Amino acid sequence: MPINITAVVMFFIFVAITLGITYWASSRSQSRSQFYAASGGLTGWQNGIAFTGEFLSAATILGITALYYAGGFDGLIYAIGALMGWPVILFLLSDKLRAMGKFTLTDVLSYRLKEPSLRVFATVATVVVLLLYMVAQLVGAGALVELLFGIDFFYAVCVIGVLMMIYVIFGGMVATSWVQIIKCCFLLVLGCILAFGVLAKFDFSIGKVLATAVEKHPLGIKILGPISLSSPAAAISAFLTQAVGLAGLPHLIMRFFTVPSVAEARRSANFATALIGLFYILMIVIGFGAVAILTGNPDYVGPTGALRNGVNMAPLYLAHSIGGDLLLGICAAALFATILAVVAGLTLAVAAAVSHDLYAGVIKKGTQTEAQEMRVSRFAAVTFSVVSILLSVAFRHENITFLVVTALSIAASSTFPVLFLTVFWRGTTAAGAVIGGSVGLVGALAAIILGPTVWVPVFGNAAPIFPYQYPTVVTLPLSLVLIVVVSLLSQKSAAAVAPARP
Amino acid sequence: MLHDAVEVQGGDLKSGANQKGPDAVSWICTAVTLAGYLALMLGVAYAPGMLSQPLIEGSLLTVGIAGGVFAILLLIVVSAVYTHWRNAGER
Repeated sequence: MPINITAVVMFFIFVAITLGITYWASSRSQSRSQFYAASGGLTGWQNGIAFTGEFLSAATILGITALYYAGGFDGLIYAIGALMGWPVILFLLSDKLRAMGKFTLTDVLSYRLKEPSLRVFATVATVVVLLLYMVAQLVGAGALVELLFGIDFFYAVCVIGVLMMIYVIFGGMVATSWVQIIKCCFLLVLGCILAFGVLAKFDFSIGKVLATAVEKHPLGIKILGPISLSSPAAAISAFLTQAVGLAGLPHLIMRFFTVPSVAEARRSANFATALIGLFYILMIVIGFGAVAILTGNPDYVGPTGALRNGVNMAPLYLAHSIGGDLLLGICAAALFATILAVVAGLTLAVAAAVSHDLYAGVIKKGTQTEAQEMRVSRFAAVTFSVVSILLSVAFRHENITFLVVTALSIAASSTFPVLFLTVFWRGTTAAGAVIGGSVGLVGALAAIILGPTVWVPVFGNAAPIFPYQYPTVVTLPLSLVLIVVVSLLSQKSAAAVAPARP
Repeated sequence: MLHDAVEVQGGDLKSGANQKGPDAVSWICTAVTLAGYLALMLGVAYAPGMLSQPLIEGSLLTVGIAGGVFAILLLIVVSAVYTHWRNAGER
């Protein structure tokens, strides 16, 4: 592919604007509260857009379009599943998060349970989940940048890594939020242009889009109904992983503390729900449009019938078919901006976990100075960036969806059950939370390795030992039960030490 | 912003966060939105053929796609109503 000038120019404009914002934000990122939570100074609307940006990662957009392209309706099911975490967060958790937390997920967990072991567990779980999520984003980003900008994968990932470090280290939550807001607006506008472009090609008739998609797709009329998720347990497990995993993602939890009040926090979550929902409705048009326009089109499809350069290219090719090189360039730049913004959010969450939860909470037990804590968080951001760049090079040929599924499954089986029970059940003890959460974490990881995604294709075994792609249907109940049982067993000893009510 | 932005100091008790946790309204809202989605997933699991049927005879809009859009809109509406109602109640 020739280098796309529009993409390069748009990308440099985005980088220039975001670096300008980082410079502006650097004077507002000196204190802890500024660095971790933008001093709670965002409005509900701003935070809602940032929430949306955090949620609509490049892996999500590429993955959903690819699912539509492969199986039509399955893309919609996946998208809705990802959206269903919001009611859990907004209706059930938002008030409690605000009441119990300060900056991070660990703050919420250790509001009642002060034991250092719980903080250590929460930090480890946070880092594992976010590292997997991060590597998925970087692998996707590196491949995309390599293709569009003609630079080597390693350098592509390094450019992304350096930019995200600058945003986080100098601009903290203020810069990260604004990068996220700009990118999200960019992406929403692009989504509208793509959906409009698809409809314009088909006389503004959804019926014609669907009819052409059905006519061209090898599976025909089947793409308008469910195809791949056949077994009930597999469907329920996919649902649990997505709906519940979301509520356990530490970088999303942090966004509840960047607004001044609980009312604004609710407003931002509500606003994000609406924006993401409407974007997913646009994605129905974009997804079936991709099937209708790209399938069998020799400009985009190779001799085998598969999309050239992989199925992740679907949205880019769609943009090209609608607006030529110009729209392709804009689309590429938007995706790149998306990746940058999301990885910056992930890096900030890890920096906060290491400096605030581990260094300040466990090692120094609150005796550190603010300057020391800030130094540790910046050091953590750099270390995390370097490690994830190296890992993404090692995993560059892995399937991105698999990495995201693993991250979400671990969140759904470890951080979520611990969060849920510590928030809703006063009987939870630190021992219960740590043991149940750790078993969930290890169990989810083991089930994925023994499952159909790794055991068969990677290790070359004939059949998977664990039957489902998503382990959550087993590991989430396992973790919940363990937390309850161990808590009940350890309650008597804890009651002697801890006060009855916080 | 006119809000007291210093509230981040450990817990948000003063600004009206509901210490008691989710009440009946929260649970009902959760149940309503998840029920829409769960119905869709049960359809996917047990009655995939039904979801592939056209919503109106002769149309390409299937029960599944319409149901999916409905589940999304339901979530948007319920969360908007919940947020407005709860925020108004705290003022």
